[in-house]
Amino acid sequence: MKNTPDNELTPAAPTAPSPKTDTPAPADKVQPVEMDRLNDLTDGDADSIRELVDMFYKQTTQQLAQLEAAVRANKADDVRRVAHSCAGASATLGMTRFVPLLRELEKQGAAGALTTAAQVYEDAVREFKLIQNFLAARLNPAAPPPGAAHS
Amino acid sequence: MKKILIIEDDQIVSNVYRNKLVMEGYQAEVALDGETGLKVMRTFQPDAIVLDLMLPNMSGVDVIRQIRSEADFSKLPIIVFSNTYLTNLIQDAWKAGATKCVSKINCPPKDLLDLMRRTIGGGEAGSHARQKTEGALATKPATVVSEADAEFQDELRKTLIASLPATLAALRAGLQSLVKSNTEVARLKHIHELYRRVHAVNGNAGIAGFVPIAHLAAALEALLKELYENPKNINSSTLRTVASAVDFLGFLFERGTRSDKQEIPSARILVVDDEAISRRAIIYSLEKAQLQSISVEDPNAAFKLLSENQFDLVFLDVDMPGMTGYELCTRLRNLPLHTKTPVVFITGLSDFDNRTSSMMAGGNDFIAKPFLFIELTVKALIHVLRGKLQPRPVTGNHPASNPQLMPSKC
Repeated sequence: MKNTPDNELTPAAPTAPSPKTDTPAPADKVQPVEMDRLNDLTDGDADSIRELVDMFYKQTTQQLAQLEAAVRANKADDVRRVAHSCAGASATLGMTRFVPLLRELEKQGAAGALTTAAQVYEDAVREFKLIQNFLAARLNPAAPPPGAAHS
Repeated sequence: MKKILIIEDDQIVSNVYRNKLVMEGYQAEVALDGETGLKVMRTFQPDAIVLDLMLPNMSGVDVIRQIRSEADFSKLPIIVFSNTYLTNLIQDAWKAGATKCVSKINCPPKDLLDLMRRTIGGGEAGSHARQKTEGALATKPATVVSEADAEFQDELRKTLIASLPATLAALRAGLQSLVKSNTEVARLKHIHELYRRVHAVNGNAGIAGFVPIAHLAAALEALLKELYENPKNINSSTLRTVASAVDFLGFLFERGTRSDKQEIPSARILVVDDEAISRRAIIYSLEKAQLQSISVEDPNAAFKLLSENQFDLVFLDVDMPGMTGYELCTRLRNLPLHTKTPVVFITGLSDFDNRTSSMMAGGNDFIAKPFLFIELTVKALIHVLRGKLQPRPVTGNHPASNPQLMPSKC
């Protein structure tokens, strides 16, 4: 770190909205995405958030397809590996409700017993859609939610 | 005579700045909290305000908002001191109407003086106040001013160095209280107390120009603030990182005050993780401390890089296809270049308490996923600074590192 003026800090691009609650929300009211983590990771830069979210959508869509195939084929180790990777990325970005479902798939994969994996996978797909809806509303507040254009 | 109001809760920092500004011909007043600062502002009618963002009770950002809401002060220059690791807070300060934001990490009184001269004028060398005490200014102003600044700074450093043992004892006592606390209320109380102490270390080291100490204290302050505001992030990993950082501040108090050690050294950091978003998060966390890194997704490619290049720090994901992080660590320990290179494993929180594998593989440290970005920053700073202040003996040959591969900027 050099002396002034290099130690003067400059403003960044506008911060994406990140409402913060002072008290923990009940489990069923937990938001799908912790926006604070996304804002922190991007210094609140809206373009960086969108880029990161696009990366997450692309990666997760591929991983869910791999998970579906692995669950159908009863390939427990593949389920463990893909769920582990997907959970790591999702936890990093603060996808609070998505992560436990992926951890459950990882656990069943590690145990070699995909007992309820098909149902957990369906729940994960549903949660992923909720994440997309949530982020669409947050990042493009003026845009209609997915599917609204057809009505 | 131009008037400056300093709103800063640390009495040492505020007095040092005030003395310097007065010596240079400004009229300066100090307020130790935001509410007092606003009252003083209305009577003192300053030409500029120097404001610490991290104030107790009324926050610095709220102080700016209040100042801007009063017609008489809506255009008043407000110079904000902040912690570079608290980027969101700095953005809030800009939005509230700060005129300039300055990092506390390295802002000796001389730098504040220069900034005030640029912002509001006044405080010329050779001012009335200065001429009274330094008559030789008229003949050799630049040299004498420079010598006086150096003397002032030297005295400041000596004073701070003398206080470091007591500061360290207080930090360690605070850490002990935190570790022993068995309720969330007690834990938060101790985190807040530790946070205030580290905040003071950051400010004092910043004015004395002890850059490594100020840097680490700033990062630790940001981590403690995060833990205080989001207690759900308090876990065995984050507490371990806090403890390591306090311990390492003790090391820096002994070895980080030498005048030739006051730059954050460049470092070569390798990040190995097969998952793109995690890699990005690690790189971002390192960039917070201006640490550049090389990242690879394939552990075999990482091993090739390690075979041919020296690194100062390696972050390894554990679960990777083809080769686990533990296997890669075992292999790199057999490379002459990396017998002592710090290796930090990034592992799931559920595995965090089972440290046997990481230690047997030759790892030095670990951090739990999903990690706080500032937690990883603190860890990286500790390992990089320790390596530079206490160079590791390297055995075997030293093949030249590829300069294109190794960003030297830090």
